[in-house]
Amino acid sequence: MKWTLFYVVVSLQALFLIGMSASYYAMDRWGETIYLETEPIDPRDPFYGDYVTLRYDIESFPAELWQGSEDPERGDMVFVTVEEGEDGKYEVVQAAPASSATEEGQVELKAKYDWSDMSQNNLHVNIGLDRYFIEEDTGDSFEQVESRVVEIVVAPWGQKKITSID
Amino acid sequence: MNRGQLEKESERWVKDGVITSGQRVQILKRYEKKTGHPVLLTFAALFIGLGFLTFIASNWSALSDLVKMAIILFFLLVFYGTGAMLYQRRSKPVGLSFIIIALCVFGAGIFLTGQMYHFTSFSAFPFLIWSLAGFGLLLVFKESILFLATLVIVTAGQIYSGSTYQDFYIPLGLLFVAGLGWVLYKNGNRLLTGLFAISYVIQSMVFVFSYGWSYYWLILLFLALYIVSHLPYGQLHLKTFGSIAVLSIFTLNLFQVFLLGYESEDVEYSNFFFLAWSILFMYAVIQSAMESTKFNWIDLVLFIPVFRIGAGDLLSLLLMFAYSLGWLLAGYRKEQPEWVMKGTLAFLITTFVAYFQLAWAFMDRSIFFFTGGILLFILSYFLEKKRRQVKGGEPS
Repeated sequence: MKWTLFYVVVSLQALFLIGMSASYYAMDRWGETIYLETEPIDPRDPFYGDYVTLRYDIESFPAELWQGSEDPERGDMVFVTVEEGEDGKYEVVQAAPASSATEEGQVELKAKYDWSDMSQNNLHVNIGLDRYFIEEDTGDSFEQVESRVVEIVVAPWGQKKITSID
Repeated sequence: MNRGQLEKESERWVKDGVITSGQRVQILKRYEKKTGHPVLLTFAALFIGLGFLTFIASNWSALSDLVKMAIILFFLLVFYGTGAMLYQRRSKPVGLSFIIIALCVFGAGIFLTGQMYHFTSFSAFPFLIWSLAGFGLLLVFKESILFLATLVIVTAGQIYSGSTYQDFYIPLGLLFVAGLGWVLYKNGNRLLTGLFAISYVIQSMVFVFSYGWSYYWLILLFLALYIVSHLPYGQLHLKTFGSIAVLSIFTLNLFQVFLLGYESEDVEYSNFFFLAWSILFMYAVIQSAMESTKFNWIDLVLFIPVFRIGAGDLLSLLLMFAYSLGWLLAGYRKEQPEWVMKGTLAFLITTFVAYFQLAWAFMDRSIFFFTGGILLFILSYFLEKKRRQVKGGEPS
């Protein structure tokens, strides 16, 4: 009895880690691909080790798109719904404090609320993909002076990852 | 056949009547325990393990994600497997330390995997999973060290939640109270109870401050801890809660002495606080009146909220003096050296604080310290004399 429980506890731990890993690979199979444009970043120090820092256009949007009754607080979960624009890049349709049903062609992204820009009445969020790891010694060729298009896969269970950068 | 197997086998032989238990002892004597070199072996294993770890750590970024996963899982299973085997066959402590290492590998695994695959966390959820693993192991082995491990993970998770997300993570709190609390109630000891209470105090602070509530809610939470320790049908080892609760509230009063001033009437207060406080306090008074030791009400003095009335610093000092003198007098009357000890210590600290608070601003620094030192010296002389009288059994 005691040892059965032990094996259960240990297998659950192993399964949890395997599940975390598997869900990442399963995104390729079941995820939806979207294209997001990045904001140009001051190239003074874009490299920190072996990754580049990315900021997306959709990470700031007008406060009118916020659906919640009260303002979010820093660190709150924000659900940003994006839709494909004319040029193939995705744009923010709405942002809400809770998950909602999306229409055809829309994708919901889970983000963390950062801050609001009072002067421009913009809300800033972080979708958690601000680091793109690149292979070592190729960093020189990656200059973040102009905006780029990032291909992202979003899984139905909310997970997302960067697949490539143009 | 080694001695361990023989011990088990021979038990059956005795039961079946093949040999007598006297003969069994004689047979077992021939197979004296092999001493071996456990110290050398432990170090050998430790060095090889460290070698592996440093090798992996220095090459970590060069490894592909799948290889990293395989390494984490490999270490997880190997440590659990070895731990379980050692626990069963060889030595429980060594086995348990392997299992603790495996639990750490799991924790590290969660964060490493999360980092590898860009998981974003919005709460202390990783700590919940980690502490659930620890709690599961605790249920399997029922060993104090696993209780301790889970307690540490829960507390660390809550502190992390408070500092990173300014939030008290309720699932962790539930696991703490319902899970660990239940285990503690069933079969805890004084040490675990003390550590549990310390964790409670830390989590209370995370709870109160992360919601942006005023500090005085702590009084209520500490009072609740105190009441639990004196529940009439409570377990004996839960008494330690009381000491920690008193220590915490004493410290809180100490802070009040320095932080509350005459303007303390400005402290915002909630009617709900006073309602809840009155109910709890009344209950605590009734509870202490019904106890066989008639002096526990002295502790309750410290739980009186004084921040609302004005001059909160002086009133806090008064509470501390009342507490100290209460235990001193009760100690002399009942000839209880521990009570006298407790009262003396509290009295010394209170005097020290009072002196600091009142005289710091007026006196020249060196005179301040000289006078204080002499005062404390005289005080401790008299208190010590009294204490010896009690210890010697002489009525004072």
